[in-house]
Amino acid sequence: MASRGRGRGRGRRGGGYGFDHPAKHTPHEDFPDITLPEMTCARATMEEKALIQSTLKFEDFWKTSCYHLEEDVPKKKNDDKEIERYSDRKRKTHSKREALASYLILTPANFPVELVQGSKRGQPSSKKLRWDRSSDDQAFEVFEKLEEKHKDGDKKTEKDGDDEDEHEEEEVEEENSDDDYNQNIEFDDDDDDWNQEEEAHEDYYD
Amino acid sequence: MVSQHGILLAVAIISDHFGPLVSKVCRCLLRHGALPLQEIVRRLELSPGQVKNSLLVLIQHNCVQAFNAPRGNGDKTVTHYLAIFDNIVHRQRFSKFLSIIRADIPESEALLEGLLQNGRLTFGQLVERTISKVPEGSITPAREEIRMNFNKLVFAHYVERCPKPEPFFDPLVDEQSTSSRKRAPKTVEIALSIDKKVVNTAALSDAERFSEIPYIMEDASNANDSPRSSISGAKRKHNALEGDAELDSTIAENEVLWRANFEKFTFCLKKKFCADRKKPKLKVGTHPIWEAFFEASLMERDNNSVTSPINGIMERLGQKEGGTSMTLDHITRVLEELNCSPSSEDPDSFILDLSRIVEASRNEEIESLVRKKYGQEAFTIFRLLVRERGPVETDKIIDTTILDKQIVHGTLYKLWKDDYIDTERILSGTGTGNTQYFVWRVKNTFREQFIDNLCHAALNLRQMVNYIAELLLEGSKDDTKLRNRKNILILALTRHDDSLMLFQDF
Repeated sequence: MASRGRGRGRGRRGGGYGFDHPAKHTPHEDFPDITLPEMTCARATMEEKALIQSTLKFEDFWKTSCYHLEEDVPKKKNDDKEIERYSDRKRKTHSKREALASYLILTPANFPVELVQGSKRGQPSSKKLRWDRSSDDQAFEVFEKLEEKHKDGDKKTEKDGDDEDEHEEEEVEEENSDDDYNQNIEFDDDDDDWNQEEEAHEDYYD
Repeated sequence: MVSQHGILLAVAIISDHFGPLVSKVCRCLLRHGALPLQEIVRRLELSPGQVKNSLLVLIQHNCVQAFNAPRGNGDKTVTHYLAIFDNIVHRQRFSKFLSIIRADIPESEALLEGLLQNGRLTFGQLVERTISKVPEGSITPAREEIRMNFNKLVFAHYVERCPKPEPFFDPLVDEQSTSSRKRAPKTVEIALSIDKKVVNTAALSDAERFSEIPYIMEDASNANDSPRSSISGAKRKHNALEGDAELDSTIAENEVLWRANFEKFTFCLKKKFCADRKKPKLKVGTHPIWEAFFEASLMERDNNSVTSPINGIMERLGQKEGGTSMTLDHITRVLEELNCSPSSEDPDSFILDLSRIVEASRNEEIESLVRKKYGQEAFTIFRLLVRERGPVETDKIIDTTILDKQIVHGTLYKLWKDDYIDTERILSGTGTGNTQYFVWRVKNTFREQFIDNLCHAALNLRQMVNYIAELLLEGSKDDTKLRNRKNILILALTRHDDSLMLFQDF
């Protein structure tokens, strides 16, 4: 800045024209404080809280039910494609599902004939069906804990004083206690992260 | 028929609930209309087994209806599968349906939950499910008790028997004599889409649809029975063939599939919406009468009106604060001010047409969006065009709205560019030369576009919820914060769905 000014000054000395005034710096002023509007859309009535819990319960049921059909991917290809992440462990609990045919009354009176024809079951079986998956998940989680402890024991014999294992164990315990629809729903009014999203919502659908 | 983002929303719902396979089949049907099995297999390049299982899941959950259609010229028929868009979108309202039962028939809430979770069940399956869910050590409910709670749902039309699995339907034949007779008012007003025709063809008659499971009384003379059971017992006395009655009951229990009646739940939400929407505008002191009117409503005869007997209204008012001091004349006058007119069928009842409230609410929603997006002037102009319904000259717009000429021109251009309004040039011939006029009108498709925007917003909210669910699955230190955000987004989606229903279902 200063050097440029000098250059011009020298070049045009004859004209008596040049920059000899330095730029004035205004002291910085903070943006004025604004009182943000109260977040009404984040406040849920008791009825709305029940709706949220009910929605979560429904979606959790469907994701773990026999109606959720998985794509058949060969295990070998799956192993080659990507390294198994730690969080994939949780998804394994969903791998075992009840047979779809057990829950449907597969007769021509209920479904189109061409869909029923290939069915192996001609008569309803007396097998006892499980209508609630959550108890099954808990059983699997117990086995996971046992397996984790077993692995932990193995690693400890090989490498003493490994801190990562203990950290993982803590994380597992912390995760297991998180049930989406059992835990009370609490809205944190002081959370500033809500402000932007809330404003976006208010702009369009009040 | 279904907008682009509507299809994307429906596919996202199916993908969340049933996985990628079923959502592929669903998207194929939504985009291409009704298709036979082989055509679906060919388009998706999946195995027939996978497509069959997907169709079974979709039919089980009332998202697809199969029907037989003629193939070419011969007598042969082929089974087609049609996705039912409305039933798919209803899936994000199941928690609202459940809350209706929680308020109306709380003892039957668990039964409805089972039906909503599993789509279609026999009564036997419901009993089995109920018993398996009882915690150890608790008393197992009796079968008759479950039957009674179930029949309450059927009697109130919350639950119905499932439609026919594959009725015969020829899309080329326009005559729908049976359907026309049943739904004469609708047929006259609106041309039914093929989807509606297929659904109507598959539906059972109302008497069959809501026939309850008969009671079997071992001892007809038992004095402790409820009135309903006594009636059944009396009927059984006259029926000499005990075997027949027992056989009918067994069939009804173990072979007939039942499902939730979405029409009934939609109507309940419509009543609630209209009641809540109008409440802020009522005069002081008329709230109790407005509430009592809706609470006293009878079994509805159609989907557009609420009918309540005056005795029921007064009875409900007696339970409200200040209700006992109101006279019959006062109540009658207030009801008429609220557009509730005496019913022509029953002089002692009042009837309210919900169409006007729905129409006014829809206009409010769209005008609110226009105001927020384009400003107050655009809102004024847009509302004028909506009310005029026909073409309006530029000069008339300027004079009526008392806005500056340049503002009017700029605003009209913005609205026209975004497809809210249409324009047309008219040449007026005079002796000395030609003069050009521009006339403006509301675009016919602005409602459809608004619905597409609503579906788009719902789709975005679902994606955000799923994204946060993924983060929670990863595990993080901010679990509580993420869970709060997820709940707020679900709450926003729940509230937003009211607007979506206003335009799609009411």
